[in-house]
Amino acid sequence: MLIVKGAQIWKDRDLKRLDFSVGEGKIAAFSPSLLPGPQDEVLNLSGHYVYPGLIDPHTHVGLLEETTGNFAGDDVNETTSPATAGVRAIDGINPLDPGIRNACNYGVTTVCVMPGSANVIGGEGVVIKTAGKSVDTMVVSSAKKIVKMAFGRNITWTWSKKEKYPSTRLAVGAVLREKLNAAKNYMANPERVNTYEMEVLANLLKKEAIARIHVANLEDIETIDRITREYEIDYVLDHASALHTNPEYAKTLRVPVILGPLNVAGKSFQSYDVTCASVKVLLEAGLLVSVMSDAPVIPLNLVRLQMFLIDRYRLNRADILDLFTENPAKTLGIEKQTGSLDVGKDADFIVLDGDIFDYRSHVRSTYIYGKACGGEDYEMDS
Amino acid sequence: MKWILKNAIIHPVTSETFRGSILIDKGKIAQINPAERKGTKIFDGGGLHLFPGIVEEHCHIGTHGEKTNQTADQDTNEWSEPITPEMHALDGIKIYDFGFKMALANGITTLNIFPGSGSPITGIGVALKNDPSLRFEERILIKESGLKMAFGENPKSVHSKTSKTIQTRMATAALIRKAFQDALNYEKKADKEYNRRFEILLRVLKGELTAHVHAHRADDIQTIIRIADEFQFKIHLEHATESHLIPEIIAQRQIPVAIGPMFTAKYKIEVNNRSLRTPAILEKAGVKDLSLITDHPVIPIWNLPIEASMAVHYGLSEDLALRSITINPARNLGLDHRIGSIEVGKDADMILLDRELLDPTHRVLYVWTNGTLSYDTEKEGMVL
Repeated sequence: MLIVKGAQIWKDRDLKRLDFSVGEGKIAAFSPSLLPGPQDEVLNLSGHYVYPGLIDPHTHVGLLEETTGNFAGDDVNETTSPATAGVRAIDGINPLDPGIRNACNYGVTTVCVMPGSANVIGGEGVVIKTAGKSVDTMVVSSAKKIVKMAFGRNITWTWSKKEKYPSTRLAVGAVLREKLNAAKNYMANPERVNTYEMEVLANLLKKEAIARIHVANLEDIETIDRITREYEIDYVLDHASALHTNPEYAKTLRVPVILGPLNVAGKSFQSYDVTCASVKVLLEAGLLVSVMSDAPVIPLNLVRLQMFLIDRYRLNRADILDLFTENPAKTLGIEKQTGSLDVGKDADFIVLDGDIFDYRSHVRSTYIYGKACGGEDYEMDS
Repeated sequence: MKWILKNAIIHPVTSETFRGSILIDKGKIAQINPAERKGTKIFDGGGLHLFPGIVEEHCHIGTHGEKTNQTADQDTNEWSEPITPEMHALDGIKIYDFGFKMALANGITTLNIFPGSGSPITGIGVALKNDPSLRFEERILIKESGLKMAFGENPKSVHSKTSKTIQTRMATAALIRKAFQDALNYEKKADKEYNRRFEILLRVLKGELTAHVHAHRADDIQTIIRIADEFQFKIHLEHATESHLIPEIIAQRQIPVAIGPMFTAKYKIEVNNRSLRTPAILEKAGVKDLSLITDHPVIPIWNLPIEASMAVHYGLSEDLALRSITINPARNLGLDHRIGSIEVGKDADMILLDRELLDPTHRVLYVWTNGTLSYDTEKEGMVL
């Protein structure tokens, strides 16, 4: 067993002076004072703060690789067809991408990696832990199956440039309906020949997968709501940049939202409504809200900057931490495994030398499955 | 109008922090800890933190249209040919662009706006007071604030496609050398026709205009130092991403260096060595003339003080961190007699915050430019 002693622990939405033990990669017990046995390894963290590992529910790390120059290691958008449900993010992830290393070193222990937003149906996303050299060993298999989709300008811009279908919002909706119809027919056909693309879409119709839908504008959110109701599929709104402009409407949507990236300028036609204020508005509207970095749009060594900016709206700090831990865990369906420090959950935790909201504090070490695997100073070593 | 701001923790930046009051008269800081006189309007600072307005030395607000991202609204890079010193950012600025409000709401009261980095010589910048109550012409602090030049990947990638004049870093250097040599030859001619392009380059050679040089890689930095030595002109380094690999060269030559934007991904090979530790490494090597820049809209301008925070997180002194977003950029622009600190005689550009400026969770509550309340966050809301 690993016995962690002396630290302030973020547990049940507050800092508490507790020791805890870790066995077989899981948190085993908490106590104000744990006595280590002769076989136990002791980690003395007096003066330090321990938080659950952070979770980023929307990234492209490993797909859109850093340091390769103009994203030469770019495997994020398969733009040879507007609907590519058959492609899988896991097949393009380079686990050695410095972007993943960054995540681990700065406290992000779990990320969801998805295809980009240039396709109406982009392909399957995957949830991984951020330590490892082989992506297969990093997968969090308990997570919900994820099908990435996108609405709006990224699609029409990509395909109108090629003078191809779908070049307008009308066609974006049509592509999605065509594909979901095809999947319905596929499921109804007793003599169907198994195709991977149709199986992925069938998972949506069987509610065994969720659609993760990139969207910015309100009119697109309405279209999404309409189509997902027609086909009875579960979905999450990703970015949802303009949703806060109509909180009354937001209340009627009982879906999780993943906001961000929040630290970007209004230069992008996709995100010009984006603001940290939307976190406050949508929490007040009663939605399950998480925050993404869209890494590498915001590199994950800067993950805490978004916390600092949201803090300017003077929300309860426990609510802010939830945006980066429990809420994304619930959205990804991994809340029984990670997202908080509780007995039986993965021992994914980060050790800081101060409060996580203090800009001077450093992530001294990151633990995944109870093993030390990163920290800010690791950056200099690698 | 005379008024007193009292009961604040005043951070002049250039001297010790103190609790007290200041008298503002005709838009200037007139007196420290004045006696209260009957009839003088008083603003109670509520014991909160007063800092000088923040100075952004390098951004593209107004030329790079906010919320549109379309060619129609972008006037940052004139890349039809590689040498365009006669371009002036002033002529491309949309003064009601949302970026100005974003800057003001976050306490940035002076903006130096440069043309982009798509060409070896891109044009002249302009420094503006970010005061919405003034007409455009009145906002100009320095009409011609420096000649923007650029090395490395940007001119290569642009001009290998547009003018087809550059494939390599060698051509960028060669075109710059040729431009300055042509200007010198022009000067020698007896019966010359006025040529604005050459006249501007001659002003750089005479020390009347500083070259602000975009360079990321250490070798690009050394190439511009070599050329500046050959032609004897003054340079400021912009971005200087790899300057922490050659800090002794920067320190020894006392070249002013503007680091940033610090918060982007490593999306170009020439920024692969970007480090949040660069400012601290430069300081340790003895570099004093450090400023920080956001290059807005590359990263949103509200990050300017947060860059200073993160530099402190990695070991930069708080003193140099604060100077790097106030008095240092002011000095680099030749404006340190007017802005960049809270001192008697300077423009009353001030911001009142509920927490210290280096704490990135602070809220900017009030912004004054030239002694006038320009932004009231309670009324107008935060912009971020």
